[in-house]
Amino acid sequence: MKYIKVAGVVVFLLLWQLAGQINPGIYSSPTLVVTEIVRLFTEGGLLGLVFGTVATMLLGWAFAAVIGVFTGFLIGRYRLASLVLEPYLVALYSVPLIAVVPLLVIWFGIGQTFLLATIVVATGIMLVFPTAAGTRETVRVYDQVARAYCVSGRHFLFKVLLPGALPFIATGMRISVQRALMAVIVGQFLVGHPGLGTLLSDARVRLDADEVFAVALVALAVGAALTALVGWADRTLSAWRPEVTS
Amino acid sequence: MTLAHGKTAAPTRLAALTGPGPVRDWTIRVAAFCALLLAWQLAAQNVSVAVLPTPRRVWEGMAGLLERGDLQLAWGQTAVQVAAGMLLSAVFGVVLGVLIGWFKPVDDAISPLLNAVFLMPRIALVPLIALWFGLQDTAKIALILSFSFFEIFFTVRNGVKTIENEFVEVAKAYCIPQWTVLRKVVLPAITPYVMTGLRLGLVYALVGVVLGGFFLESNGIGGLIYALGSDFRTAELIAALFTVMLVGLAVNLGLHRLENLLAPWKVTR
Repeated sequence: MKYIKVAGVVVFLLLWQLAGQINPGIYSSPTLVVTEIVRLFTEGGLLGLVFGTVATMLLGWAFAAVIGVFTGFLIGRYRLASLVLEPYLVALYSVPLIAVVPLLVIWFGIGQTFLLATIVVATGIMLVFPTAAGTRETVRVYDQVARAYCVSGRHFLFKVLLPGALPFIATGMRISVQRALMAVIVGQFLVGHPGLGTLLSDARVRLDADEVFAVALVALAVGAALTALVGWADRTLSAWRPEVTS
Repeated sequence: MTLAHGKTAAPTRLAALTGPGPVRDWTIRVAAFCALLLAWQLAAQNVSVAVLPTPRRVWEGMAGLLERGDLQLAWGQTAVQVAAGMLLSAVFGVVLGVLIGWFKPVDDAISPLLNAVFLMPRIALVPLIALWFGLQDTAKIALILSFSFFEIFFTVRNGVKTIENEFVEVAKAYCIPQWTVLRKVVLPAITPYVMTGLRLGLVYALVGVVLGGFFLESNGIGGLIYALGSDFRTAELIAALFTVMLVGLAVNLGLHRLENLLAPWKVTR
């Protein structure tokens, strides 16, 4: 089976190289793209742009997680909060939130704050429902035990509820990582904040095939690396509770 | 609940409002909504209209957009682009999903490549799409395709892979030809997955068309939002955003209903 997978990739690369020999202006080719990526590394400061983008993404994602987890905890723990907030949260969950980015430009300008706000708006909602489900489940399972041992207040929150909900939160992080990355790239693309997004806007203006493919592949590598990392974290955190899915 | 059997007196209206039950729940929700509107109004009075217009100004903005026909034009263009993109991704997604899910060697050969593209933030395809298709409608349709195809394809492919074990063994035991199994067993069994895939696909198509309006030719609802934002016409911008929310919500809820109607026996995701 493994051979077929490798063969598929090899055949694809060969076909691409062949297409590139015929019309490099449209298809580029694997060798040209690798050369271009090396050039972006040495001359274009690719590494700095990628790290800056990922750092911004992680920071915004952390904010999104704090806000999303807090909201999810509120609606999972308190019926009143769930009554009041849940209709709006359900609505926000199913709409294309990326559309509000122009409004965020008006509110937050075009700097780092704007990028963080974009990530929070795009991904915060994805943490809410997993956290709420985790909170409800933990309360259901451990509430009586905790009461019997007189564990309450802050202790219950940090020693019971949070660890209990953690695998659910990790799942929420896993399903939101792609969105967080897209949000930061869209933000940079829209306002010209240096990063992966500006690589995209440069490539769109110049329409140089090598650059276009190189940038897309770099984005792919970043996306794949982040997904792998978060998947690993999710598995580690959920190791003692394998039944949690989405 | 347990005491309810012995209850004879009908609850008074006041009791219905204060006691637990759906009436009280809705009272709380409506009150919260009014509080939200009030908070918006109060916040808007203290800042510039370009930052946060009052609810009333947004309402007037909506009326203005409708009167001039901006919204109708934008949504008309968007609907055409989404319809074309969805048609293509539905056909390709379902057909490829079934074939690749069914023939394991093909799955092994192609899936690593498709998985890789699935992990890429699809917005990174914008320059490539601009290079190949320009900035006009064709490019937008390609962008929509890149957003919605994978949702449909992966949902259907995973569906085909899951049902394989359940029904196909029986069909194989009765020596039914492969194509007949595909038609008579697999296709009916994957209906719920197809429906789920189409719903997710349409939701992502909306994301794609909005981003297409931002980064490709500036038309459709994405273009309108972008233009309103650049002109700091915030009231109309918020009004336009509300229509996006409304459409997104309607698409999701409507297709959820349809899903339950057409394939009530199994609902995924």
